[in-house]
Amino acid sequence: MNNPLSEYQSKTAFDEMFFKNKVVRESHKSLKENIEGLGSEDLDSRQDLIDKSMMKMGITFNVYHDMRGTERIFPLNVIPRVIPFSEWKVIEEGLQQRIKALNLFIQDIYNDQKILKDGKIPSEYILNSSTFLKECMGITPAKSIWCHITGTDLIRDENGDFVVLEDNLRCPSGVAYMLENREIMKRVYSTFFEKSNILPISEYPDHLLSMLRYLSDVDNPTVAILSPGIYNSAYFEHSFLARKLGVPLVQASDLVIKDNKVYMKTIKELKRVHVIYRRIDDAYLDPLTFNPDSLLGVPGLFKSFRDGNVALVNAPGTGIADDKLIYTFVPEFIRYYLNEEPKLKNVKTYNCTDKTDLKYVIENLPKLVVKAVNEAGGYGMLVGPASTKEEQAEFKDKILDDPRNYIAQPVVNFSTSPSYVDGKLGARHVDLRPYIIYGEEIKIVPGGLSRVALKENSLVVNSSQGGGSKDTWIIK
Amino acid sequence: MDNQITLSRVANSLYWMGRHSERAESLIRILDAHLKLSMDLSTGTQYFWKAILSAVGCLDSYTEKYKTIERDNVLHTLILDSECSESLLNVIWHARENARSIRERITAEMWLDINELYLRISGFSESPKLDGDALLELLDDLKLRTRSFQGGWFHTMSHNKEWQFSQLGMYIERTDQISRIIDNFHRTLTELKDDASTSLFKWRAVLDSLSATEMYQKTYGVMTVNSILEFVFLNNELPRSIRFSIQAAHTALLNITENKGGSFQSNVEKKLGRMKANFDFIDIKEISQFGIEEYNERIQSRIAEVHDLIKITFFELSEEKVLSYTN
Repeated sequence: MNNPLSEYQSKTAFDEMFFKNKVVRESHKSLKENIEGLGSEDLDSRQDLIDKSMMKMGITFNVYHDMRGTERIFPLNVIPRVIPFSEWKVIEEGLQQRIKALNLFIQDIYNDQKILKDGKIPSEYILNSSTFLKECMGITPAKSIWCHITGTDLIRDENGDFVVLEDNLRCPSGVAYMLENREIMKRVYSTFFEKSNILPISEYPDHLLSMLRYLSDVDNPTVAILSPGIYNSAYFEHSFLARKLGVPLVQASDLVIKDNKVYMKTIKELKRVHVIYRRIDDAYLDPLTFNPDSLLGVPGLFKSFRDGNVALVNAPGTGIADDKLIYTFVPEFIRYYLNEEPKLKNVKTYNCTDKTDLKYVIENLPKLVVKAVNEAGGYGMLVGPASTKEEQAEFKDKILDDPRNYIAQPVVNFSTSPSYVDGKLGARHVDLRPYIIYGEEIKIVPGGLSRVALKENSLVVNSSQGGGSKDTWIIK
Repeated sequence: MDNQITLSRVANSLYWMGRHSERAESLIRILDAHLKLSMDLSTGTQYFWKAILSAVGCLDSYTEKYKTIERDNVLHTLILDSECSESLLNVIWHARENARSIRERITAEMWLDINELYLRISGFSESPKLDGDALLELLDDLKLRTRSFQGGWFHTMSHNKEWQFSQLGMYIERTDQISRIIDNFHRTLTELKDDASTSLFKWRAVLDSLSATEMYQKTYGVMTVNSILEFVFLNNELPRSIRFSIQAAHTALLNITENKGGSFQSNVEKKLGRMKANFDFIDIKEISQFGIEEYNERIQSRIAEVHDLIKITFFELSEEKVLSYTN
């Protein structure tokens, strides 16, 4: 039998399985032995089994919005990603600390604005952000929680340290893949699961439901998940979560506001809704308050929320903490609100509204990653080393035109993990998105969604741009 | 608890999932019966192909594309033509889209089956050539998968109100389909002016289309046109007779409205109840005197009216109702 790892070459980045001298890391010994025991052919057939079962189960995302639009799987790599428990503990505590501070920041911004008065962050950064909702001023949501669900993106830098790339506080997606990936991997690696202590993630739906119910003071609150509908790219996930939680999946047209309260239209009456896990953006929530053209929204929903008649998850206005310029201040928030030192670091970020930083950015575009402050999904960004002269010129104009709208970061050559692509094991870059639930307590199931850039040397992991995923094993 | 809430939109999707999956199954059975019939016929097969195109509602889109009725073109239109809204491919797609929009309300087994059904036919539509053998194999396969879907539907999903809506859709559709099949056969055979002795085996294709031949044989023994009509219109034990389907639709409706029977509380109960009563108290002689064609037309228009009332009663919560609602 051939050894699939015999020609494995780790790159210049931190490789999660091997040291630079090709010696295997302690945490990956058993995975390595397992892979070697299988051989290439076996890996091939297991990968095939994974792809087929994902299609069969309809674990897909929509690519186009037309009739019979293309549905694609978000390919799950047959090789899992392993993170030892000791390292996970650092991530977990770091994230809990971060979310606590972010929530206090949002509450402060929409109420007393102490942090602005104390001059810790320039007021104009907040007021000029398109994600700042002045309509939220003076609001304290149920239990003072704004960011109930967060999907923080972490990468591992050249030294192997996990650093935070983005916070993603606006209905992050991907958790259904995390849960389904695990189910599929259990079938593919049943013996391995029996032998080793891989921490389970199956409690996620329980944590989610408890959090949602916690937000209402009613004895037996009615919870619903609000989705834009079957043509939304993440519809599979909306439906999946409704099934796991056993709550109704609703669309805006199912909801109606009466006497400032939210109801669902049923076959014989109106049924009151107390908590809504909404998977539509702030701008589309309520045509009376936000985008008047929105057909997705429910007229009057925002007022009902503001008056405390319905809990919205995440709360509108949470996006202010997602602005990529505001992100640079998160370590400061942790010191300011919690009087603690941040346990997780940020990636070095250049602020284009600062003269010195702007000059550096404009002169060093080929070396930097430039991002629009409110875009996601790999859109609105320039990856310097992979860009053309024309693209660089275009971004230079954009940045000079509206410096507040852009930030830049050095290209982080983040960690690689052995991945099975085109019949070979190669080093591919991976990130990590754990899902943090903020209810009565802050809970994180061990692991998260690891996304992998399947193209060799590529640093883009987004599903829309050739990314795949890996099951993430926290091993004790 | 939450699972007792039936959203109007969800009820609507389940109703349509029931209708479309039944429409798909009906088409599969008709195709199967006709492929076999056409092998027995030396001439005149085009009349029967035309009758199916018409029964299914694909005749217009067929004649737009082709001048003459040819088996292969008909099959392609009926099974795989994405431009024909009633082709099997489209009907299955609709059934699956409805299921997908309420995936969290049905069971995982049901979803797996209906998804596979769609993947199978859409995969087939990409293969270059449609020969008879491959087609029969596909039909067999689809038949098996629809049965499997129905098995999951009946035996894994709770028989709650949502389920009743899917049953209501299924039986409303089935009533309509059976009526169309009888209607189009009747017209074709009248048009052909065959005498009864030579056309009996053609009438048998009506039974085949409803998978009712063996049950007919057991019930009547001898084949006559009159008995065949009686069986498919009025038998209350045959799952694919009109009377059986109307009774089942009526039962589903009363389960939804929690009406113990006896009378009606809404227009939809009144309409469907009368249809049921009419079938309970009519015989085949009276239907024949009324005219098979006319009677079928009446069934189809009544079914359309029932459908509209279902829509108004359950799926569209009017402004008035919302405004007048008090908690």
